[in-house]
Amino acid sequence: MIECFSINKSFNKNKVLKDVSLQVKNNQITSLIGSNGAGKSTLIGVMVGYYRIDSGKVMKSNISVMPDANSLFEDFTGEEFLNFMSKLKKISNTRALELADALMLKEDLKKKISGYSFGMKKKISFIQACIGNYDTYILDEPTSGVDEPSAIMMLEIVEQLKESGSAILLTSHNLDELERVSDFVYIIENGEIVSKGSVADIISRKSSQNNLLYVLKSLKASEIYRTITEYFNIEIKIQSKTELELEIKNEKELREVLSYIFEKEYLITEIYQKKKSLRETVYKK
Amino acid sequence: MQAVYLYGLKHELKSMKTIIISIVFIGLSFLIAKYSGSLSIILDSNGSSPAIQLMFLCYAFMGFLFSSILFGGIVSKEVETETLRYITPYLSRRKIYTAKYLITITYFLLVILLALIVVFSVRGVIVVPWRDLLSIIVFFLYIESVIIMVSTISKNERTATLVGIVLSLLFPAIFTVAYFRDNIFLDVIDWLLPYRYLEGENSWELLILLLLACAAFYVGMVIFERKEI
Repeated sequence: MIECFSINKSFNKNKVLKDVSLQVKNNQITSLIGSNGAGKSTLIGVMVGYYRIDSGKVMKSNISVMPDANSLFEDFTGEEFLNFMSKLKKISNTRALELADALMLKEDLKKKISGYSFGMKKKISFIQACIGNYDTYILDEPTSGVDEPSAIMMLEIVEQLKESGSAILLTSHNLDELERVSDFVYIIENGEIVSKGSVADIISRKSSQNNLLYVLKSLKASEIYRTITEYFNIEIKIQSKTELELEIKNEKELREVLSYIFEKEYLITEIYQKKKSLRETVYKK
Repeated sequence: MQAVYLYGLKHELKSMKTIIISIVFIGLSFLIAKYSGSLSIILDSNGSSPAIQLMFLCYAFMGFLFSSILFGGIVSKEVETETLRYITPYLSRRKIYTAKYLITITYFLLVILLALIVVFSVRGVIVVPWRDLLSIIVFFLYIESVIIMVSTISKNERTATLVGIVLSLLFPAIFTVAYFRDNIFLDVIDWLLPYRYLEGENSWELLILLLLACAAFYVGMVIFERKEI
């Protein structure tokens, strides 16, 4: 488990972390979401000990971390690097080789890391982070640039680590992926935690502040679009020839819209409320 | 610590720079052994071997320069490329620093050993001038502690190497001027430089050099412990 209490950090008088407090609990996957420059990497750097903090406290046990894949030892072969990391962590290289096989990297282990693609570097950086028995694993954008089958395998490995009792901290720009695996989410903006909670909590909290989204399917979708925009002041998007997306303030407005459509005798084949995704919740203003 | 030391040493020994500089050192030992016939290898009354002493003196003057070239980036490069981020979560900074220091010392111990083997082979006799050997080892302990400290302070490998090269030329220059001129300021600085201890008549003076090496090592380690990577 990692606990951060009121962390403040500046670089050259530029405050990058402002009173940040968070917990990464055991048996949970905690995700840290934020746009570029929000402070995610700095927060990880503070937790791992790359940076000193100006004030606050970090309480932690032993951590295994996946740093930036561009910081690898370019002169090493993949195998040398995994052997080195295994020796550093005082374990045998068996697990590292197993993971390399699972992530389809085994054939490339004899090659120098300088010749690896970005995705391969990501994989090998991920593998070295996942070997060994640690209380907490910190994985910084593990699946970015990685092929889909390997990304799925990597998340399975992350789930296994969680099941073994460890705490996991994930960052990623792939919010669909985080939505699937996260137990708890922190959203960071301009160095501050602006929201936290389970995925469902965050979505429902934001949804109550925002309008409702409905998907309406009809063979006369374009005509319905013209009619509604003439009469109502609501946001409508044409998704396809037969599908519209409506942004409705409340159920009363929905009833009014539907009544109007039925009066005009348009046939609706399907209508349902669209569940907001984490991505839409976080990034839609 | 063993992993950092062994892998680091293996990579340093395999590099082209190391191979070329090793050839220079060993070549020099061969030339001295073969062509300095007037210099005896046999130990004199002070326990020194003139031929080996000459070789060690040459190593002393070249050693600082070549150390800067070889090991200027031993810390700074890893900070610059952020490869240290793969190591610091699992090993204390003290152990990392110590391992890197030991890599530099091991290299020069190997060079000295090979050089002695070459000299003994060419001259056909084995003598071990313990005082001279101890002097050169302590000399390199000092030099490497300064090199690794400079590497820790510098922002990148290039700066570290450049500063090291400048110091490698400045130190012997100051020593030479202090040797010939009476200047109290230069005399004080001379006590901080390693060259006066190479031919020191008193063995206890080597302790001073050893203390200076320890001080430089400690300062460098403290800086490294606090360094942000």
